Amino acid sequence: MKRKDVVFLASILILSAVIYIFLPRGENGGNTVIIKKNGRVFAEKSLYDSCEIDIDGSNTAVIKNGEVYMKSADCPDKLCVKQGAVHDGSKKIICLPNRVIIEVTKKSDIDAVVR
Amino acid sequence: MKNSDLAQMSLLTALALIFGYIESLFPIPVPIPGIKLGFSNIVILFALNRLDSVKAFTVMLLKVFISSLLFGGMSALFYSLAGGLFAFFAMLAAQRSGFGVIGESAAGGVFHNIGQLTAAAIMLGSSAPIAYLPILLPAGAVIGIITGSVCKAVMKKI
Repeated sequence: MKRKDVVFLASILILSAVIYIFLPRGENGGNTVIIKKNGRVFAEKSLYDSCEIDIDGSNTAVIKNGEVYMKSADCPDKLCVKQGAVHDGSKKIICLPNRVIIEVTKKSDIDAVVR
Repeated sequence: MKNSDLAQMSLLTALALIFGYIESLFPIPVPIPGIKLGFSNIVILFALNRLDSVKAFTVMLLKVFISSLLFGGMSALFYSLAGGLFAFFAMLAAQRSGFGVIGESAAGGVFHNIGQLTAAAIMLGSSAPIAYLPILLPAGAVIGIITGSVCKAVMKKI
C-alpha cells in the first residue's frame, strides 16, 4: 500500500468514530411505536399494546411485551425481520425495499408546553 | 471503437455479472443492510487501471443495468446505480490523485456505501440511514482492501 492509501484509510476510521460519537442517540425510554411508510406516519401505537399491525400488505409488525419487531416482509432479503426486536429509541427497524421505518419514541399525553 | 475494445469490454462486463451472481448465492449472514463482498468491483478496478476511465465507466454502467434487469428490479437499479456511480468517481479521483490500487479500491468501497445510504435516505424520506455510516464506512474500506488486493494480484499475472 502507498502512503496516501494509509492516510485515506486512517481518515475513514477517524471519520467513522467521529460520526459515531456525534450521532444523535434516541432516548432510552420511550413508550410510543411510530411506523412510517414512504416517509409519512402510517401508524402510532403504545409500546405496551399487544397487537399485530399490517403495514400496507407488505410487512407485518408485532407489538408484544413492551417490544416491537417485524414479523414478516415480502421482500427477498428480510433484513428487517432479522434485525430483531426493539424496545427503546436506541435502535430503529428499517425495511428498505418497502420503505418502512419503525421507531420507538417518548411521547407524553401533553402535546406541547407553553412557557 | 476498435473490435478488440468491444471484445475486452464485453468480456469484462460478463465477468462482472458472473461475480455479482455468484456473490448473490452466498449472502453474508449479518443483519446490516448493504454489507456485501463486491467482487464485481475487481473487474471495474481492473478496467480502470488497465484500460481507461471511459471503458471502465461503460463496463460499470452495463453491469449495473444488466444485473438489475436480471436479478433485481427498479428499486435494485436505483441503489446499485447510486453505489456504482459514487464508487466509480471515488476510484477515478483516487487514481488521479496518486493512490495505489488498494487505496483506490478502498475509496470505491467506502463511497459505494455512501452512495447506497444516500439512495436509502432519499427513498425513505428520512435521515435514519445515517446511523449505519459508522459501520458501513469501515466495512467498505475493509472489503475494498480485500478486493483491491485480489485485483493487484491479478494485474501482476496478466
